[in-house]
Amino acid sequence: MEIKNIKKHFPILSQNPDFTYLDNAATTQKTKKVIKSISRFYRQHNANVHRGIYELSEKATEKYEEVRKTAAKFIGAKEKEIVFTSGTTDSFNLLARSLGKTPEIVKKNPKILITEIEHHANYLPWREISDDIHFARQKEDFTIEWPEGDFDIVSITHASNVTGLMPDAKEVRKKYPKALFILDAAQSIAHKKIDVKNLDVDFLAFSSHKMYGPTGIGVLYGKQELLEKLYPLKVGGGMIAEVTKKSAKWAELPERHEAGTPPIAQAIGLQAAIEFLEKIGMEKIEEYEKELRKYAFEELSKIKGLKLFHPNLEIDAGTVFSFQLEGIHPHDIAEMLSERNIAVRAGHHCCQILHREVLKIPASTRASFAVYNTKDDVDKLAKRLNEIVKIFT
Amino acid sequence: MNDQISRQNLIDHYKNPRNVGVLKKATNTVECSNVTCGDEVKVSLLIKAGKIEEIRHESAGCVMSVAGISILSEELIGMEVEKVKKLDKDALQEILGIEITPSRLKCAMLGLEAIKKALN
Ligand SMILES: Cc1ncc(COP(=O)(O)O)c(C=O)c1O
Repeated sequence: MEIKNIKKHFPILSQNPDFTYLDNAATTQKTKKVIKSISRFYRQHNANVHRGIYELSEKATEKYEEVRKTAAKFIGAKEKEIVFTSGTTDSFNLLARSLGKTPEIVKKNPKILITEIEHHANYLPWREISDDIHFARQKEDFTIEWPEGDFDIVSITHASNVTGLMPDAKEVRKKYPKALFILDAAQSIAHKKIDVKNLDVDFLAFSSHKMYGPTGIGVLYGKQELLEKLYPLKVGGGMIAEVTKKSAKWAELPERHEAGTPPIAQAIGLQAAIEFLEKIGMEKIEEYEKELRKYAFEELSKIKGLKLFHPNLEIDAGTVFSFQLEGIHPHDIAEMLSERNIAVRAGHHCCQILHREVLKIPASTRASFAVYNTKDDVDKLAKRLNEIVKIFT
Repeated sequence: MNDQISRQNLIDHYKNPRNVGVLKKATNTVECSNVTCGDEVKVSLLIKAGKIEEIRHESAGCVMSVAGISILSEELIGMEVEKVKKLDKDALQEILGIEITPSRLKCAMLGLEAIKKALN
């Protein structure tokens, strides 16, 4: 599949040619096939999974399990290592709280290293199980200063949703060989080839809705031996081997961590999203977005009074650009861009520590690009930003 | 989509807010903020015979909040306190001469909310 003209696969974009969508870090648009696959499932295959001994349920189960296969292959994992959750936030909550109940994996009140640039989803869940949390500092150049020392858990973003920074995960892993190593891949999954074996990551989380798929489903990847030991935090239907009045035995992987009726239709949609990414090819996406990043970086840097919170081009980063325009409030910038049908986000982007304690600002404006965005979209953004600067001076 | 913010009137009030400062003889004062976006406003009022005689404010934030309180500081002079207490979003839209979108409601309402709070 060619990246050129790829907007035609996205109804919201193809039906609104004058709409410039630059809020992809929040959520991406969905492909026609993703949308269709969900309605087709409800029209033709709807039944609950796992327990029905009739054709429709068997078919639904087969389809649901096929998604697990697809997702596993997509990140170089085994099927059993894929736990479906409702998204990255859910994955981190499940993981942190489960680890808090699994002393065989990590000791009580573990010493945890995260960074100052983490999304609240990769901070607040850890506070639930530890008061020994350390923050790796963001340096002037937007890279991270990795502290010396031993940690029980190192949980970091694979790509920042504010600065776009993509830390060298393999290097970080090497620096902390004994720690449980966890990646927040919410912002990298649609933009970078991920291989969990190559990264030697113990757990990894991502959301379907940031990779052209539906909301309501995400993945928690975990190494098999860890997921097998991990305490099943959520209990109920679908995850048991045997239940009596006195006891309960848990099912094997992957059911063990998926209590209740799973998001079946959403999984089907996720499958279509992964197939979309694979049809283009992650390498091609990376290459295209690298070029787009360069162009956006250069064009935005030309705007008078614009301060970019984004690392230089020699440093690995995605197509996420948060910025400040001197003397103009982010909400005003976002609204004035919206006046020209350009959608961006203004706020702290669920990274209050980074905004208030590091950048020392309450909020920033963020333009984030996806595979369907073009240099033309960058031009439209830059043109309007220049107009905004003029209106205010 | 019409250009709400770009209206010269709002930008003018934002750049040169009217009635800035603190009233020494204030009868009512209040401080309010929108924590998430960093908008802040300090209001002092002089009430005489059930009417607003003077308004001063010190505010920082977006066009909506700063221009909003600046315009109110002119428009509400002479208005009966009981009437001010009843002003709502629709009334504010009329006073500001714009349509307030849901995402900007909090910003636009900050000044009015502060004045109403000061009156209570
Ligand atoms: C880096 C990062 N981590 C976690 C999340 C949370 O994702 P979700 O809201 O899909 O659970 C986001 C999305 O906002 C994100 O950008």
